Amino acid sequence: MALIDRYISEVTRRLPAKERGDIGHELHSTMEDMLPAGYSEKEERELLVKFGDPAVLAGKYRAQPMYLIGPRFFDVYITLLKIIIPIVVTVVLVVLIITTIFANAGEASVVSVIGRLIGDAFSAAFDVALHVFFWVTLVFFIIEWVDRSNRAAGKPPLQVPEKGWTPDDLESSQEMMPKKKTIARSEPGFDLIWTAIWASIYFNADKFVGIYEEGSNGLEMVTPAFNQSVLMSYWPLVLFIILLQVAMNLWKWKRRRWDLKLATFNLAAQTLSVLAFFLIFRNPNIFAAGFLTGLENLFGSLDALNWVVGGLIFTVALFAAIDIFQGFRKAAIREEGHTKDWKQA
Amino acid sequence: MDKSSLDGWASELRSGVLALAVLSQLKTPQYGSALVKLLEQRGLLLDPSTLPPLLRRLEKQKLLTGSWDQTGNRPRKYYALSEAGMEAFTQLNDDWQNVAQELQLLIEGDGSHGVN
Repeated sequence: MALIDRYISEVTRRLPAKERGDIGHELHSTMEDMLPAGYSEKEERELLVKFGDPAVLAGKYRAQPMYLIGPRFFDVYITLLKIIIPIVVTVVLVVLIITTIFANAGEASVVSVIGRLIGDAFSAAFDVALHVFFWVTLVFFIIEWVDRSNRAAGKPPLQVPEKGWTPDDLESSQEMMPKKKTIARSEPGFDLIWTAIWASIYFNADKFVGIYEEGSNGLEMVTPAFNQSVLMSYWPLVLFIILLQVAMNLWKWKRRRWDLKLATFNLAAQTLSVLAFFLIFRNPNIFAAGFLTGLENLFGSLDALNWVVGGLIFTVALFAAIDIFQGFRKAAIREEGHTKDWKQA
Repeated sequence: MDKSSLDGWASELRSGVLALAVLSQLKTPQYGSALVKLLEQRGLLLDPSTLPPLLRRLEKQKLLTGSWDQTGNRPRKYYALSEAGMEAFTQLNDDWQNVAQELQLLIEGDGSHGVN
């Protein structure tokens, strides 16, 4: 007796209050009826085992499904999360890098700035990802809830996409692209972060790049390597290249595949970047006088510096050339190649 | 064949026709545990806990009428087909007959493989 009553109250406490009494009576009548007169506790237990988990039984009574986001919206929800989280994290990291480098220029040592930046980057990325996840989930929960009450009231259900699925939606399917032709979403993201790093350092070069020596507060800069005012005389050119790279990465992010236009744009942007790099480093005045004498004292001559600058320009040009070539090579891969592959297989 | 995966299909097969089985037995009033016993004996009900929620749903949809009988020492709720329930039963039964017939033909194979 006591066991059945406890079992039934476990079921009914999970149900709406106004139905508890009726369901309790019905269940009690049916269950007790299945036991012989004067039943033992063992028989009672066997019956309860047959009926199983009270939470599951309560679920069978409930018309409301027990999920936050139902199958109608789950796919859109996941797709949206996958798009929004990387974008927001990238933007936050770019802003964080720029503000940290500008705010700390000349005040703290490079090592401590980099250390703090890495720590801040991780916690900011985690923080913002968690925030986006929470808010997107909340919005979708509300959509699900509104849709559920709408359908319960007999109104037409919400459609995502607006008119429902049609075969036209197949046209832009990224999955049909040959893998080698596609651009991963992460690629422009990392490129943007890299642009933020070098651009911030460019504008603060005299405060970060130079000769360091062990001082009373750890490493301290003795002489900056660059003459910031000469370096800054190139700012319109540098700014133009920054804008070019940002535009390039936004386009890559949106297009998600290499084509001839993108490869040509890449050719222009890369060539211009290399030319600017070459132009700036060919100017002997960009190096601070103190830096040059410092090097002469260290190594005896400036030959080493010439080699380093030459090597740097060569490396930058080489990587740019590889990137340009890859762009055109991937653009040349035919789009329908992949489809044919699995048709034959 | 994996035993547990087969079990899932077996109960899924029955859950679809359980409502029809219940409706078929309620031309005369019947109470819950008697239905459980009957359907279990026929092998149509694998999990007795599915029946009380089903009866309640059918009653809510006004396909069944329920009335309490307090005379014995155990009160029992008797369920019977309403008029709408009668109609629903006729319609579901027709559907079922079609499905059963076609399925039988498919399983036995009536020579109409690959309609030309």
